Amino acid sequence: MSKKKNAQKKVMNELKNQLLVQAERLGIKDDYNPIAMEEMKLDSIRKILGDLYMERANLEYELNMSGTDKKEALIKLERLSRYIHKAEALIKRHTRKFEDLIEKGMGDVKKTRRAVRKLDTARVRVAA
Amino acid sequence: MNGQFALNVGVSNSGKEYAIKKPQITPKAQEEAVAVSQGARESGVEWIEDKHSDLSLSNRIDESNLLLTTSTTAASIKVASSAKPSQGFIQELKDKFKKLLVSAYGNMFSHNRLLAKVSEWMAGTATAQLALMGISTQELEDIKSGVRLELIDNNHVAMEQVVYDETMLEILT
Repeated sequence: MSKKKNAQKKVMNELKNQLLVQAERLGIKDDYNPIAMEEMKLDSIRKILGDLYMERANLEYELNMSGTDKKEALIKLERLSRYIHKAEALIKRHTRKFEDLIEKGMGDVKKTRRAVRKLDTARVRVAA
Repeated sequence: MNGQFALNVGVSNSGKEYAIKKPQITPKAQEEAVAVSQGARESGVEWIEDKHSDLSLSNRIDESNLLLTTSTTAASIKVASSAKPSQGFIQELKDKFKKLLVSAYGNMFSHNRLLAKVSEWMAGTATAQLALMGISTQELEDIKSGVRLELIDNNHVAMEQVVYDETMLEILT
């Protein structure tokens, strides 16, 4: 299983690299900066999570309906909740990472806030 | 000089063709065969046994060559003027070169270096041909920018798909 997973990861990385090389040749490498990539990742997780929630609702409906295989539905539901849990953890991790990157891009947050406060219109008017 | 050489080859080839032809046995042919055996030639020229014979023969060959050269040149001019390409053909050719430019220009940004290099050369050739056909620089630039924008869109979509697949893999395994 791990071998298969590694092979799949390798393929994904290769595809990503090829697309990045193409982007560089097209002059759009900046479109794939770390922040943009993190944003893309978050979007994809949200999309997957939405699909998983929808599937869970369908399974719950199936479970409540009479004349269906409850055992199979329960197994599916259990597996699905595991995936949902994983996706939620992933979204939290990547949100934190995204925020970190934004803060890094802004530089020192305290200094930036002080600079913004100095640019406050009321203060500028008094100084003038 | 080259033309003469080529013509000589042509003449000898036509001679070969005649040599392959089967002789038709007609009463006239029989008469001619008898005449040839007596020294007369089919062309009507007779060999005169004197010291100027060689000279007169070579002069005759030169003259015939000259004649042939002139007539051939005139014919080729005629062919050239009558084989002027139609407007439909020119349009078709332009469309083909445009297609070639689109595909070659698209491949110029490929991750494969060899393909990109070959495509660069092909795009250059296609651009040169289109420019010769009277396509304006503006139109060429429009084609190129269209291809580029399409490639950028495709690249974004492909990258989003790869990230989605990667995330799905991460969640499901």
